[in-house]
Amino acid sequence: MDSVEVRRGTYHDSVRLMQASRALQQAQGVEEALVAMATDLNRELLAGMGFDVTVIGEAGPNDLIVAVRAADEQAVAHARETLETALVAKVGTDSGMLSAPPSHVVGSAAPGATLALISVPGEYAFVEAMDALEHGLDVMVFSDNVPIAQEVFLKQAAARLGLLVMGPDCGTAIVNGVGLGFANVVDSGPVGVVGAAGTGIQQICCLLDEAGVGVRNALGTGSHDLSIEVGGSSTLRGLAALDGDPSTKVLIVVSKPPALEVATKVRAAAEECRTPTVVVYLGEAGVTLEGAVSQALELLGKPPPIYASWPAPSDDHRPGSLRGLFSGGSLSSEAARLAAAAPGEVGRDEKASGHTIVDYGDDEYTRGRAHPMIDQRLRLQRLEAAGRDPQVGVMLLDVVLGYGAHPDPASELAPVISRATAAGAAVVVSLCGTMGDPQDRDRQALLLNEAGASVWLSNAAAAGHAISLIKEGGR
Amino acid sequence: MPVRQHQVGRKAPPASLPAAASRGVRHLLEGPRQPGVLLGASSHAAWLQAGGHVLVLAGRDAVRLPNGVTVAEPVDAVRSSSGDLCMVGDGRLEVGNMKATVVRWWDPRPSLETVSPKVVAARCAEARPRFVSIDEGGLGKALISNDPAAVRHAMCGLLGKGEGLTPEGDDVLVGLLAGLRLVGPAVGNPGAGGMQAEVAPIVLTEAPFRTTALSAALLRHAVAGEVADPVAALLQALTGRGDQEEAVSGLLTMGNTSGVATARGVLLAAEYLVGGINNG
Amino acid sequence: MSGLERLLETEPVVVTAGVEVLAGALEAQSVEVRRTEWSPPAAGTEAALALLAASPEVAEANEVAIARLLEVRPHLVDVVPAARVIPALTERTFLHAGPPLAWADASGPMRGALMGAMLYEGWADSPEDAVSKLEAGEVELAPCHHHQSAGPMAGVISPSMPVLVVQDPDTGGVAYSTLNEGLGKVLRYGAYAPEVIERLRWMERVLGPIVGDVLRRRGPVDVRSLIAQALQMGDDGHNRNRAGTSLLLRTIGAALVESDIAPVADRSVVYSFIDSNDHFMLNLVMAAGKLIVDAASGVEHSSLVTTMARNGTEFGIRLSGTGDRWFTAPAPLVDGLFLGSFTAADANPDIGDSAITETIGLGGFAMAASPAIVGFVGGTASAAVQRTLAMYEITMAEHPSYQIPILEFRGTPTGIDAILVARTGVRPQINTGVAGKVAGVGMVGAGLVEAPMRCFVDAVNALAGGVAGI
Repeated sequence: MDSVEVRRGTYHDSVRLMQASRALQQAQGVEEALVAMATDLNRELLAGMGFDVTVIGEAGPNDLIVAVRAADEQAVAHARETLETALVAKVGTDSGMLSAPPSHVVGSAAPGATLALISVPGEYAFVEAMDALEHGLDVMVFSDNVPIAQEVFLKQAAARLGLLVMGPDCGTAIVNGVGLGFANVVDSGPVGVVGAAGTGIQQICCLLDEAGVGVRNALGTGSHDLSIEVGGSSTLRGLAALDGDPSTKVLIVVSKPPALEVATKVRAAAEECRTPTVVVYLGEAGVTLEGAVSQALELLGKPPPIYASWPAPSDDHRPGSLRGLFSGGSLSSEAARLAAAAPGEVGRDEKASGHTIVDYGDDEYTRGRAHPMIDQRLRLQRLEAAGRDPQVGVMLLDVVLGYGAHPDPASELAPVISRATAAGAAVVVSLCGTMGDPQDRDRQALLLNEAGASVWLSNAAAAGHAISLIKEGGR
Repeated sequence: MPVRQHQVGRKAPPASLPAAASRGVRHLLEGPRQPGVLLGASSHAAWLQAGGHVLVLAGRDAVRLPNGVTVAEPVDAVRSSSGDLCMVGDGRLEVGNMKATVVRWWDPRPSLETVSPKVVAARCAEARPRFVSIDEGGLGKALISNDPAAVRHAMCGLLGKGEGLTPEGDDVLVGLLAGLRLVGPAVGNPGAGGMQAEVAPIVLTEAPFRTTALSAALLRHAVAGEVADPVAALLQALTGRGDQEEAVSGLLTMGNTSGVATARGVLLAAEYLVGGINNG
Repeated sequence: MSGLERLLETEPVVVTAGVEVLAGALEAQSVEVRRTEWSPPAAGTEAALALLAASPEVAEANEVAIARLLEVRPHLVDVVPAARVIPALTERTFLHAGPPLAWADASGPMRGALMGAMLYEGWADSPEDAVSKLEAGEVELAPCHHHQSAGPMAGVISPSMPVLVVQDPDTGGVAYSTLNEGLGKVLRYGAYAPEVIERLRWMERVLGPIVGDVLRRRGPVDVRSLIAQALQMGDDGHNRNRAGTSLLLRTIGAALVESDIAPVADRSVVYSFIDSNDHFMLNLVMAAGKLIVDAASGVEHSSLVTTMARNGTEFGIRLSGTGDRWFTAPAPLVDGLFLGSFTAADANPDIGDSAITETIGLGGFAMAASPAIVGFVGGTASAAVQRTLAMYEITMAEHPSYQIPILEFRGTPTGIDAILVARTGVRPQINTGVAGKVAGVGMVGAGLVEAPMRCFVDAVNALAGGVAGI
């Protein structure tokens, strides 16, 4: 039976709701469940799941919908109880008579703070970000789908106020040794990074860490900073600031290839820097993240290491195409460009036939879902399917560790990988993480390796290996 | 440390507070687990001694020291009594009911801009009037003479002089030693003319006998260029980076006279290095 | 700090808004996090809020408007017949509380009050006559707010009624309110029985002239100072006015004794009348409030709320930056304690201009200074403090004179920002009396009511219509 309930004026963030939906779905007797705010998108989702959406009526983004399809009334009731526990887990607050009530907007919590981290839905991010700037805070806007005109306005305001806007659509940053968003645990050190590419920054930091070199500041600029409209505002300002920082001895600028005039502007600025600067536009021929790191290491007078890898028990695999399933945009871009060396076309869409390298972190796959670095379900399904698909010979995937990411991705992936390798597919894993990451990187590597995958700390090396497997063909 | 030690899977388990700590005490905190003793506690901080080093455990409102470990609220620790055992090492710190796991390190050694001595001289001149009240025991005169023996003599006179956990005389020495160590390279004088090497050893040797354990520890850190945050801010300002006024206020409010005394020492070192000590 | 030094070199203290996972990740790194409990703004305002956030003229206008609000020093100078100072009343007009209202839409207490006014002015011979004349539109009805005045409950002001005259010595601005009749069967609760009319006449002939003479003798009374003192004695300025009334009586006492325009017996009755009415001060606070909000009105682009008022049918607000436009919604029912055997079923929707006190940092915005009020409106003393604390998030300033002892003398949250109301979802909190829905029943209880969000949605959208945006 179906039950659809609306709770007015009850708001929870998207990730908590995903977790709650998941908990409900796993409750006994529950076939389908969705806990979500009553946005238009979610109404569509619900209708698509076969629920009666007329009950929702006038409810809006500040109202919660609880939809459950279960065996019987008892199961529905039990599901509701499960939900209460899942939603009530609030962070402890000091509740004395004179204690300040919670803030609801950034400005109220700003006094005494230095930075705002904004991850509200994109249509609301501008207002909170302006509030932050007006209260003298630097801002990181994790939210995506923010109109470009608003981004331009924000960055102009920030420049006037001597503050920095990292984002929108900035998933990763490190400021003064503190990781914001998805970030790996690295030591402070002499390298500074400025990047419009989240997992690009992460991979650079991880490889540097492996080489014993720290990163004190990695300024994310957001994926649209290097567009013509924005003109590289945060990139250029971040670059200048890091250039002026005495503790930064080498700079790396990383992004997907920007508009030509912006690319030129950035290169020119890099040349003006007193600090030696490496500029990498992923997607350009011959450019890899590992390569950028090597350049930086050379400038510090250190030899680039051979990055660790855990070889698969055997390189034998059934013949077939390459199926790349990524959670990191930059990592998938790098892999896709390297895959151009493979025989045959490489598609970026999961529906393409032949070789594909898909970025499951792309907007297309994250509607109504948490990012694959947090919630692996979609990727797990696709991996399972690829393992069973006789047309697929080699599977390539990234596993990104660090703060914000799944607490134990390998334990979910291992069974799927086992089945795939048992069925004859080769599985190659690009493991982006450091020894200090909370997931215990080497243990993750071991689990994945024991399941039959070859594991590589360098994304370029992983992609390279997958491509050579393809080139060798299967048996 | 020849090989950089990693803490594998840096994560504080549920019953443990996540802590940030100074790299100045990293070798102690990441080394093998060893017992130590709680030297004392105030309403907002606790001092621990282990492996010959002194750590200061404090909350976020406290000034960050070069031997500091910061947690959100060290209340449980400060409820313990002097003489209580503590355990330090393997990435963790335990005292009383409190367990903390270090998840992040900060660098207590500021990186300074390379600047012309003129810039430093000008900044010193601006800052100087705020800090003249501190008695520097003839150190200025000794520095002008450029005679290491005289400087050593003046420094020993200041060692342990004053009241409290960090006597005022020691604070001046901290400022002087850190200033020589850090401002030297910034103005193109890495050995500070050899002065640092001449005067540091005697202080380090004598300190454990002449002053508190905490003060002796801070002197050791100063020789390595590792300082408290407000002192780092002053050093940055003297080399033209950051707001000097803010840095000065930060020191005026640090401790009772600690900040002011330390600043006096820093200015003496800086003025010595740029060849313009004004005595009086 | 020019080169982003703070960002690169200082220990971050992070405000988070959005997914909890990211805040947790910061705490796991031993970083100080200030979480917000963010939720989407009021439905229908998102485009307007973005436009307003991109308009620097809004913040500039608000600075001007709030400064004007906080500067006004109202002084009580006189009592005179209303028609002498309110030109509209020389035509066949009555003023009433709240936004514009037609007789056909008026609730019980409002109708009763209008009928009573007809009888008092001698424009009708009987209640039935009054009704038919009012129905026929023989009398113009206009909001007090359109005529520099404010009235509690039905708030009806008719030409012959004596009104308090409050003046701003710096600008010469003026505002008015009636004299409070007391509790029980009174005009403002819709009673129109002969004794009500009698009392109104006594007020016209005795109370008004004597108080007027007293004030002219004594000289202007500094109302701001009285209010500030009253707050520190447990008043809130809206529902609890005992201290203010007492202070007022003390302040005019000597002049009352000396006044010689009426016999001692009359003055004695005047004294007892004020003494027995704990709410006497309310009307003075309201007149002062009107002076204050009028000074802050008309600042283009300002989102300062200058009016919150109810007529028993609708709740209306106005913003400084949207001129005279009213933004209305159905008047809510009050949640609170009911007297005797009255219940919620007996209650009229929210009514009166007295929400003007909340627009100047009093009433619900000063409850923490008046914890005893929970005996009146319900709830706990703790909750009273918490409710005031919640108001700081939606206001522009902390009042320099109205201070709350238990909050370490912090100024009351003053100057409601309509934009913050829409963004936070926190609605202005009003302490209020509840009128019986049947005319003349009187007060049936007291409680708390929140201003309807719809008013703020409409107001914010209107304000956004006047800015250039991005």
